Amino acid sequence: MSTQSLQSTRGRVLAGAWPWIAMGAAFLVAPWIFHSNSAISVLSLTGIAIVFALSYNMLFGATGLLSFGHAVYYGLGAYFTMHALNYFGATGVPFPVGLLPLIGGATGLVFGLVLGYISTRRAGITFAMISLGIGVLMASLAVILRHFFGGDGGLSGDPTKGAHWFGVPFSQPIQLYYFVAIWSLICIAAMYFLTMTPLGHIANAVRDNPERAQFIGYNTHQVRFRVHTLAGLFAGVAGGMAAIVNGIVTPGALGLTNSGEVLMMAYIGGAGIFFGPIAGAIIITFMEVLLSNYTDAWQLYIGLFFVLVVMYVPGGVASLIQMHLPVLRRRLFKHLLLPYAMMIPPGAVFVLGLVFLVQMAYHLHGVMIFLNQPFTFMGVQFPAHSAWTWLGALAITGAALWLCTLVGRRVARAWDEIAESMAPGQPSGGQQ
Amino acid sequence: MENLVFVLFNGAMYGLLLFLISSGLTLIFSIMGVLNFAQASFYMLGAYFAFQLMGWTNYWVALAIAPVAVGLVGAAVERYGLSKAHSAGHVAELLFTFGLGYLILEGVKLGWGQTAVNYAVPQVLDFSLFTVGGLSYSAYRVFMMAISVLVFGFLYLFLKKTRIGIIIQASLTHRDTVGMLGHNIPRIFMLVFGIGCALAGVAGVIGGNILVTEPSMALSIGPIIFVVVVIGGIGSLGGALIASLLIGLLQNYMTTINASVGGLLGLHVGAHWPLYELLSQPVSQLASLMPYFLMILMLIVRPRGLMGTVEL
Repeated sequence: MSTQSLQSTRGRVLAGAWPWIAMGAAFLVAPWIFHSNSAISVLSLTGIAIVFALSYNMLFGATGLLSFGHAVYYGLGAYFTMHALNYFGATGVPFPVGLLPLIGGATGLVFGLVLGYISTRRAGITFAMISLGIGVLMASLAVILRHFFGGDGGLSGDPTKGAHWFGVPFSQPIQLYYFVAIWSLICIAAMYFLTMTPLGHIANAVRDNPERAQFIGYNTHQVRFRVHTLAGLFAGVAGGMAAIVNGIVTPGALGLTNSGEVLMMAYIGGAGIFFGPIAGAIIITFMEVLLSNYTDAWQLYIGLFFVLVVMYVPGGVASLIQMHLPVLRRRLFKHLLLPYAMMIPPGAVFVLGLVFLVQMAYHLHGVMIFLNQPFTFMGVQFPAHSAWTWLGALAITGAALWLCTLVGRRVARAWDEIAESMAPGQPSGGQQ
Repeated sequence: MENLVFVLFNGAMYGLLLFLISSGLTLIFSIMGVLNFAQASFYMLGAYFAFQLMGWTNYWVALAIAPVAVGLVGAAVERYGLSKAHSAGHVAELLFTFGLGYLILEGVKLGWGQTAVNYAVPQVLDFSLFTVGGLSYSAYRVFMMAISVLVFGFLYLFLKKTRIGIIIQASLTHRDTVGMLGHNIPRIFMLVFGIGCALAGVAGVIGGNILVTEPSMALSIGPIIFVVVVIGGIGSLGGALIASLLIGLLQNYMTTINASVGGLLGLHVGAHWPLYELLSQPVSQLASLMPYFLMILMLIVRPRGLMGTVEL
């Protein structure tokens, strides 16, 4: 029994090393694949978003604290880092710029301590609302206190000034990228390590059943408070990196929109799994960058995506992968192939129809109307003012949605069959 | 003196507006256990619907129809969206309404543009009702208060005297029993969500023209609604009323104070003090922050709120 569990532990450690090697390699080679300067900047932003989303998930996924004000620690970390950068630059103190995220982390830690002590006394909805209140309070203060926060224009600084290690002056996007990559890897590893400590485990217990955690002698407030403080630390590091990469911090960094965005990243990626928010951060950052190049409606698309995930995939993208792994392992995926393939045509038509409708609506209000440009979709011109265009698009989109639900039932049936054949007692289960 | 009269009137007006929105939130929360993050978005929707209807017809039609339309939108959202998230638990429901707020905001931008629309006070009511110390008070504001009180009267009668109202009240405490008696619980949920949204819609119709009707109006009032609910005690209508009026009056009173924070505390703040910038701000500047300070204070002193019974 014990040797068996030892072996499985060793097996798990070995298997557990692979994601890390893959991630390190991904961070290393990503700028070779996306090598234009703007692409590398996007990669830097992705790294920052990953750390921020994981720090959020320490609260949400691991401890069950739904926060609507996590950007406070990110934003304050960014502001204090920027002040430190300017201060060291002006006074000539040889503090390496590469270590400045430490200042951001310390800021996040201190504010996480102070504000967290009040907000983590309760979990659940009370915590959600206090975090929201603190978020609004700090965002409003940032606008009022113009001297410290720099007003609407924000605070800027020059990361190429000041002390640098190995003569790397942070003047190229690729230098900033590797700065972010190193800090991100350190933070991801540290946060993963935290999930394996006693605090990480008891945080899960406090999430799942606070009464029982209390009953076996844990102070739930203390547990939530400690996790919140550490989450503040990592959010502060992310903010510090953002300050250096962007060269500017605006009050928006502390704002509700930013808090909402990190929540969406963690949820879309999958809050139940450690690596989930990483996927979410990558998806949202790329969606933002790519969509905002093509359309003004990008926020609507991200919102729609989020709502659809909440409604149909409550476990996020990571849960989809996790759901399919055992099916793949048992070579049962072939039973799903046909229903999935059947889903593609109506699904694609539905998405295209939706995009068509949104783009057409935006066309009626956007800049294009003043330029007297006709509405074009995928290179084809459509009369946006004609009711027939609207009715036709609505009918096609509706019909596609109806077909989707029909095929959806077929998919559900296929899953039921697979679940049956994988159930214990069946020969493929292989137990006893 | 005249200042005080205005603070009282404006404070009460703003407070009643907050209560209209937060009463809907409280109703939805007490029965469905869902904290509707999109509540302020329905308030915004009410204002935009009223603006649109006023363009087609007149203010009175808008006042009658816009809240109903908002209620119908709310009911449809509950039926086709929120109820789907129901099985995944309260967090999923809450996040659904959070995403919904996002979608309504983008939808409003899509339908009416990014900038403020010209939703004006109806001309019949656009005169000064009385004058105190050279400052005149608009009749419309008094009308607003009358409408709010009227709506609460109807809500009270609806909940206490009608059959549906009594069923809703029963589902507050004995949801399962109500279901077993053969009442359709999902339909009650849909109805309650619709009514809660319609209440916010009324607030939008009567408040949107005094405040500004613009896409950011939901985000500017939404967090205050949660503060009201926390201070009043979650799930308590009476508490929400007291908290709404308290915040309305206090916020309006603070905007009239020109002294700095440090000055009020009797401090002569020098520029070298650590919190100099905060302490040298005039109190009127900080009026918008007051609700959040109050909320944090309340949570330290009395976490269940003024009249709440449960500590969540």
